[in-house]
Amino acid sequence: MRNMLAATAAFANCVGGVDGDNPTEITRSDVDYVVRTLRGNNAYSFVTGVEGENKFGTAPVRDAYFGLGHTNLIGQLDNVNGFIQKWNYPNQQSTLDAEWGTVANVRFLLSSIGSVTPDASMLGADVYNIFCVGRESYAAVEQDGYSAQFIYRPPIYDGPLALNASVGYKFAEVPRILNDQWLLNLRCTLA
Amino acid sequence: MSSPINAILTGTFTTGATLAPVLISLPSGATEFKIRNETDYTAHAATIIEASGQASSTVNTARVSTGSGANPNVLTDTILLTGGFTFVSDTAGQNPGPAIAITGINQINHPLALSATTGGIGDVIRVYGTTGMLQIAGMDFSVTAVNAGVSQTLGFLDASGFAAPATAGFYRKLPYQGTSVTNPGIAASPRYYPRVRYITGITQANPAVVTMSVAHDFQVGEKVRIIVPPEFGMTEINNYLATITAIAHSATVNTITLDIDSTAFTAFAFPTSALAATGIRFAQVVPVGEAAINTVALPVANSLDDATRNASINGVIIDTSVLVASKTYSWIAKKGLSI
Repeated sequence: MRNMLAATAAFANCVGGVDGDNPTEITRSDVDYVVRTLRGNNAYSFVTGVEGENKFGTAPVRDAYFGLGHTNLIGQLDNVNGFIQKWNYPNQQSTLDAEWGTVANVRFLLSSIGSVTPDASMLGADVYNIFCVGRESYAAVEQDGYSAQFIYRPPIYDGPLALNASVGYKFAEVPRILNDQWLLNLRCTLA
Repeated sequence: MSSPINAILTGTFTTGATLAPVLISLPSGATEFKIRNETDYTAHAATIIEASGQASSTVNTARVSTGSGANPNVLTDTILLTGGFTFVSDTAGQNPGPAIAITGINQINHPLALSATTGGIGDVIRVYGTTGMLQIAGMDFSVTAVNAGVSQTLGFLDASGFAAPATAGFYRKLPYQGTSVTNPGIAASPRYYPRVRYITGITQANPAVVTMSVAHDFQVGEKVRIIVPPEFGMTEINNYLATITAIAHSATVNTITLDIDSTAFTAFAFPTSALAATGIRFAQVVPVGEAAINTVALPVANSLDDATRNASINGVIIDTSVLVASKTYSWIAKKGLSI
């Protein structure tokens, strides 16, 4: 899925930063550009908002698209104007483990295997791909109902002498962009 | 106690009149790979008859057996330290090669990227860190001609409208890209097919013709979306969903023709280098869908069939140094493990 989005999805460089590169580091104006583009294309939000509560240090969270990025963006996102850390949401019931926080109408989910295009900026820095996606913008289509399987066979089932265990996976599914206008790859560098 | 398991795969291929690296897909991988020049095997030719490589050996090495040309043919073994076999675990890996200095890029149509180290025709290189010509810094280009040790031609870029040439910079070669400019082909493509491509030109014509910086693998009938940021002029075409009505490939042409009349549109033009230095978004062709029937009359039979075909492979890349043009080869791949 990650490689499919990196290879085929439309992209937009961050241009609001001041690191002197192209793309620049991520800024509020770049996130606003994404939201404006997706909203303008009538993309559905992925999640509903989080209503404000009378708790110290919290702020309400807008309904949002997901921004799927790399964990190296930690710190970069914190510096974006209007960033709300996950722990500052009014409640934690709707947060995800991978979630780092939100800016405007994008909630960012980070992973150590997030997408990076090496040496692809104007100055040759690594470019981080943040896939900003609306609901049903892409999907994994199972072939003949054959979903992904993670298979563990303990030693007693894996050999006559029960010496070895085995682990493997198999899947027959393909990633698909369902509506190319409901997602955007926001590219940025690190400041 | 353990049981050894060995798997052997075999196949054949034929080299073209112009040699290009050959990519053999081996989904299970291989620990040893061997090719035989079947055309010359019984002809007692003084060519490379057999070559083999092992995954545990240094990348791009090979053991080659060259014929003496006598009858019976006597084979002499040589170890090649470059130009042999490269065992690839996944062509989706996109780590570029080492940084190579560019001493200049001409301000002409089909410009030359000057460098003492050059690659091959069909290579895809990422140009960055340029002094001047920042409007193309960070973009990928197909190399369409090579003057060894002097320059590589960026055949799908018209830089004649740029204000000044680049006087320095760097490039890195991208792995597993195309092996042929004129026939990029799906088999030679990494990751997913077709891919988003940078636009380097759009004609003001009916129909509009779009040029891309890297040899494309679009096909007639496919749907694409054209994205042109304001910095590139022709904003009227931005976000158009179009059907490809024709494609063209050559050493200087890499285009798709669209069902769009752009005659009255603003001219497409790269932004200035100074503007690019402040940050710009790029013009691009985005694959959207396929014409399963591949005709203009019936362009979209299933809009989900394409744009997401995984073209990554595990396998072996056979370098041209161990191949002979216009020969039929057999290959055998072995994989062994103990359980």
